[in-house]
This record gives sequence, structure tokens and C-alpha cells, in this order.
Amino acid sequence: MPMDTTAQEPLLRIEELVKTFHDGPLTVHAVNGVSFEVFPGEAVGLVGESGCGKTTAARAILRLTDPTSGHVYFDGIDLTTLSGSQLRAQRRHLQMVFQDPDTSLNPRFSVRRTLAEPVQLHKLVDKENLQERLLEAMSRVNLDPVFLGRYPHQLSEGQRQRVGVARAIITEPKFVALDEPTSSLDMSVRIHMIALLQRLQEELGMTYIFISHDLSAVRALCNRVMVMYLGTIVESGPTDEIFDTPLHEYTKALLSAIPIPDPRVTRRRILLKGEPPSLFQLPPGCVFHERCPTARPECRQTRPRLRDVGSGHLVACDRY
Amino acid sequence: MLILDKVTFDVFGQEIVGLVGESGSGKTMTSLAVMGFLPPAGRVEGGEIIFKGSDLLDGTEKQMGEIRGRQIAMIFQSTRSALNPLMRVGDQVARVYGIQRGLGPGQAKAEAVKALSRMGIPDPERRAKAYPHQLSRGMCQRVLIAMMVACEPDLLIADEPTTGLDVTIQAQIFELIQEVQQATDASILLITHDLGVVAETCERVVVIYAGQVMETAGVDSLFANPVHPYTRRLLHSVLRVDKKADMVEVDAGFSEEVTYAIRGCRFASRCPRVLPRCWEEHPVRVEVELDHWVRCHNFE
Repeated sequence: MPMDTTAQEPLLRIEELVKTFHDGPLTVHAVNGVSFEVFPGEAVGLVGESGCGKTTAARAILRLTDPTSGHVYFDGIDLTTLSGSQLRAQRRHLQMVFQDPDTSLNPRFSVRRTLAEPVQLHKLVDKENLQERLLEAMSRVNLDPVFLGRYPHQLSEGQRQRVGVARAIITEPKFVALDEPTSSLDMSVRIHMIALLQRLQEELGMTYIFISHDLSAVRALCNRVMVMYLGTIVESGPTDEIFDTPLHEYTKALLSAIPIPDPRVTRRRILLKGEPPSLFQLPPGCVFHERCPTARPECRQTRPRLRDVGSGHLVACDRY
Repeated sequence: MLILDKVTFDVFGQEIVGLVGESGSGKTMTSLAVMGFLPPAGRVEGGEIIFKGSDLLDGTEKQMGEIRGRQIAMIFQSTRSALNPLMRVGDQVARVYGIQRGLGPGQAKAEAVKALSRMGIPDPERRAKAYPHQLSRGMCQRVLIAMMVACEPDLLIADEPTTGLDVTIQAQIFELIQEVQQATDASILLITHDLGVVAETCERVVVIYAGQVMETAGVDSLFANPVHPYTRRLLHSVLRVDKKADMVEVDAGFSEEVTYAIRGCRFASRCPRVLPRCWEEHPVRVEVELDHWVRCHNFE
């Protein structure tokens, strides 16, 4: 679904988001100054490897953890300044699907109770209409109503994840953050989850942030993609453009590392040396310079800003 | 419950064979049976596992102990639990050199450091003194591969060796496994659910579903001409990073449950081409092309 993003106001605007954690005397720099916008109806992929800060960024945006600094404007309201009760009032519009349905579903709650709770909490329907609402949510995620009476342990992995999705969409949110919703699923189940998410987005007009290290899933689902490395966005732009003509050396290496299920395709793989540096001590200059095959001396001095190189393709590399 | 049902395939010298299937397909159970590591509740009811001319199932535990490690080695899915958390990684590698090659402690340690360095571990002297929790998971996998290489096995079973690793690290590990294969001339049985990994790493593929081998073929033949309805569906459900997926044909009402309690083909309940006898008779192996075998009544 191509989006005309110039005409509208962003639904979500993130400004210089920073999140650090303290581990004794040490500081973990999880998110280091992330800024972006998400427009209504967009599905934006946030990709990167473990520890790059993608989940922390999403949690800080939804204020499941308080950001250290920066601002998050949702529909014009700065979420970072809201009080607890003001934030709760906004919650129905901001939902999250968590990575691991085993730990994000209460094992003592039936599916019915899991789904009814947010509806009742936000007083979205009368008692007599609750059942109807539950059935609608179940049918949207292709689950038989009989599962309403079941408990998480009686469901398969894929079914549990669909309950997680149903819980998120039942409040009819404007914005949903999906944190690796497909990573625990088998191949054939995974593609159904992606088709389901795609259909839900079209039917309900929701706006997504899809956090994933599964780049082929991102390619299938998202209009736009942002690549994170060490707590910063190094490249972003329209999905096909990023996948077909990546500019940042990290994006190139990341894409080239993903095996392609076609023996006829031969590619040059860019093997990165070593592993990402520690989040305790960020390297000076460009966060990627230690592993970058094209690093120059000046890359160690100043951190490159994200710059537009045309048609919404942004890259944080001084070579462009 | 019968888990593995007449699983049949070959691994020839110096080749990399992929054993592909989804959760519950019996991939790991197959490799455990080869290693003689079946869980207490499991036992082999029939069949044979011929390794270099003799049946591993006939051997005593002592004979198996001789083969295991020295001739057939395995690298496991969970790297951290495969290493001893209380022992420095260098000592763990050295121990293998001590047991398998009979080296003295000093020499074994020196060999261990050399092995770690060959595995691309930077600063191997220092890393040899580290405990597993001080290393990343990618590093731990390199340590395990070093231990395996120390045995110089003829057959290496790699069970999802990159599960939980990031893609750039996964690429490094597969590069390393292929280097090791070329350097040692070992055969590799690579267990994976990732068809991309199969396409890029393996020469032949064994497709397993619910404990039954559905199709075996050379990689090119399997991807170009998948025959079994399960293989076709599997290849159809794969997403590619180099192309935009066409999601139109995804059938939404697909059941995820795997049934083992069927006398015939276990894919029957989900198969678009199911025949009445599929429920009753297990299909025989048919060669549809040179070295391309399938078990499906539609092709008998």
C-alpha cells in the first residue's frame, strides 16, 4: 500500500529519543538519539540485530519504560510529559504485541479473560455487547470461538501469538508496535501471521511499527524500513529502495548475510569482522566505523547525521 | 507413539546434506538416534544406521563411545548448555586434544589456543582463559566447532548451529563450517529449518515432516522441481529478502497441528492432493529423477 506521506500530519513523531540503563557504575546506552516520524496507515519496519536497541526504542515510545530524554508526540500529544492517568487514557490507542507469547500471556487467564480485560478496562462496550466484541476479535485473527475457553498452554505457538495480536487490536488502537511477532514461529506458520497482519492493517487502517531481525518478513509487510545499529538509525527509506539499493555499509552487510532460498542465486557476501561493540562504551564518531570496510580516519571523529539523499532515503554516512 | 517412521537417507563422503523440517518433524530425534543419544523414553524399533559399513545399532555402548566424538561429532543447538560453565573454554578444548589425541596437558593447551585462533577467535590466548558466560554466543559456537575439529570426525552433525545467533554472525559461522569441511574432508549433516541456509550450504537435501522423509534430492533439483505436495508448500511459504513476496496465495485456514497417529502418509490431513489410500498406506520411495526420491502415492 503506497502512502502519500507529504499531505498528512504524522501520527507519531519521535524526537531525539534516548534511553540509558544503569548497571552498577556502568551505563548501558541502549537508544542514542533516535528521531523519526510515522504517518497514519504506514507499516514501518525497525530492523537490526540483537542489542541494537529496537525493542527498547519501542518500549520507550509506548512508555512501557520511561525515556531518559527526548520527546514522543502521538496525535500531537507529548507522551513523555503525561501523568499516569493521562497516559492510561491514551493506552487504548497504543498497543503492543510482544515477542514471546509464552511470557506475555497470563497462564492463569483464559483467552476470554485476556481479551475481555482491555475492553472492560477502557469501558469500550456494555456488558451485553462484550461477547460480540470478543467474537469479532477472534474471527479477525482466524481463531475459532471455541478457543475463548482455553488457556495459553492448550494452544500452539502460532495460536498463542494470534491471541497476542487479538488482545492488541481489540481496543481498536491507532498504533500497534509489533515486537518480533514471527520470530518464534515455524516457516509455514510465519507466512500466515504476516498475511494476517497485512490483512488487519488494511481492514482496520492501523499504523504499525514492526520490529524484527527477520528482514524477509519486513520486506513482505512494511512500506518503509529503518535500520538500527548500536542504538541509532543508520539508514531509512522506502522498503524496496532500502532492500534493492542499500547505501550504508551495515545495511549492505546485513542484507547480504541473509541466505536466499534459491540455489540459482549467487551473491557476494559481505562478511563483517567481529561483533558489535559494547553498549557500555560507545565508539566515538560513527558507531559502525570499527567494522566498516570503507571507514576513513574522519569517521572516528564525528558522528554522521541522517541525511536525505533523495525521495525519502536517509543515510547516516558521510560518504553520501 | 511412533515418532520416526522408516526414515531413510544417505550421506556420502565429503558432502553436506541438509535435513530440513519444521518443529516436531523429527530432525533432532534423527540425529540423536545416530549418535546413540535417544532420551530414556525413546528406543529404536527397527531399521539400521550404517556408518562406514557397520550398523551403529549393533554396537555396544563401549564401541559407540569410540565412534562418538572421534568419528561422528555433533554440534548442538544451544551453545551455552553444550559447554561446561565452570571450566575455562581453552581447557575444554584442550581436554578434547588430551582424550582424542593423547596429548599431554601442556601440548594440549597449546593446540587448543591454535585451534581457537584457526576458528577466527581474536586474541585466542586471552579468550582461552575465559569462561563460557564471558563470551558471546557466536564465540561459544566457535569454541564448540574447535572442539569438534579437534576430533577430526568423518561425519559432523550440526543441529541448527546458528539458532539464536544474529544473521551477520550466522553468516560467519556457516562460512567457518564450510571451511572446516573443506579442510578436514568431513561429511556434514546439517539440520535446519531455513531453506535459505540449505540453498547456500548443502549439496543434497532431505525433507522431513512429522517423522517421515517426504523427499530427498540434490539442492538444485529440489528447488527447481519440488515434487511432494509438502515440499511444494514449504517452498511456497518461504519469504525472500531479495524479492517482494506475493501474499495473495496464502491460505489462511491452515492447521498447525502435526499428527503422528496415521498409518499412511502423515501429511494426508493437510495435503491438497490427498488420495483415499494415503490414510492407510505409507507410500514407497520412488525415484522421479536421477537421485531425486519422493514418497507420495501421486507419483507411484
